[in-house]
Amino acid sequence: MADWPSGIIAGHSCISTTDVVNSVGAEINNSNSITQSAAWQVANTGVFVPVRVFQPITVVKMAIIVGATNTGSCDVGIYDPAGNRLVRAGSTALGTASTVQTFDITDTALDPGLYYFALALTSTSGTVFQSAPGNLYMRAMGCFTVASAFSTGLITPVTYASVNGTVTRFPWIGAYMETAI
Amino acid sequence: MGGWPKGPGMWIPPPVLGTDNVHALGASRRTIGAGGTPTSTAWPAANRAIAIPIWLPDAMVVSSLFIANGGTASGNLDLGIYTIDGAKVVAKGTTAQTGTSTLQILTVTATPVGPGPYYMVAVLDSTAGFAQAYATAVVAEQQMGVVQSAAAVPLAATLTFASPAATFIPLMGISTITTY
Repeated sequence: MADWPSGIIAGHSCISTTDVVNSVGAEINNSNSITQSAAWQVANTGVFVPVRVFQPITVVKMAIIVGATNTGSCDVGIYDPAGNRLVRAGSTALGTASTVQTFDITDTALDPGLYYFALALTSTSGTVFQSAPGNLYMRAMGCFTVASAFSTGLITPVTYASVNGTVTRFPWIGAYMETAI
Repeated sequence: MGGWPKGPGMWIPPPVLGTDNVHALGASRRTIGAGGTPTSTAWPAANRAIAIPIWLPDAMVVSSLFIANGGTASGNLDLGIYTIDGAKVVAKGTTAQTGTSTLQILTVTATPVGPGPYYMVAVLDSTAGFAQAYATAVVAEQQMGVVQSAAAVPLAATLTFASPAATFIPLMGISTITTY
């Protein structure tokens, strides 16, 4: 019997949408698209960013970075490739401006695999930290959008749609395996 | 015999592996001072294939390849994956370049690729066609392992790679899915 195959183990206490190995950080780095405060582009539209998990983890908190203006509400969650929501924070008023907003989600075990971190805001006056590579580049990174993804919070299931010209940026979303952030 | 075992430390392929993915040029472009977003650029020479190196830690089942078209679509293209020795693994075949300022996604028969080093290859038979590309210095392309080959459309069974001659890296990629 062959030895147990070894592979990449990317492990630290936080996985985010700007991670180089777990998500699209390399692409963002190459495109010079810095993450900064920017208005949500389409109310209630969810932006979904691919994240790869290489070992079993349990996510206990999620986070976003609120920008300069905290108008409206938001919801953050994790989905599988089929569009099924695995966990969400629930509708939450956008937090204090220019701070990390954390969400104490239901502890959720994730097996190794592909997931999508999602965020939707109810108001285009609300701002969060986002990278702005453009819709074409977002498609080339594997991002998706879902119109009306926010009802009373992020809906399930969703049907992923290609990123069109009205969405040109995606948010920083973090998932934590510890409670201290 | 059971399937490939799943467990801690197993590689998960990205759904879309493009030019700037960590398994392609990664963070290299910016590191060597060549960062930035692509712009619509004429294909540098008819029947010149541009090959971008990729590294797959484990098998990836490729269902489509894509290229980001520029402001003008013209001529015929082909997209494929080759070993570093120049043997074709999979390619779409002759396809008219269609769609401007968008991804042109070409589906292929689901093909396991990897593990190991490969090239993702794009060729266009006309300089009237444009792609979203990076005007990267040839020296920088050489640093990152980008190569080229004289190649007609459709891509041949074997290619002979050579040093890049143009400041041109297309935004292209491979994918496990067919809609994105």
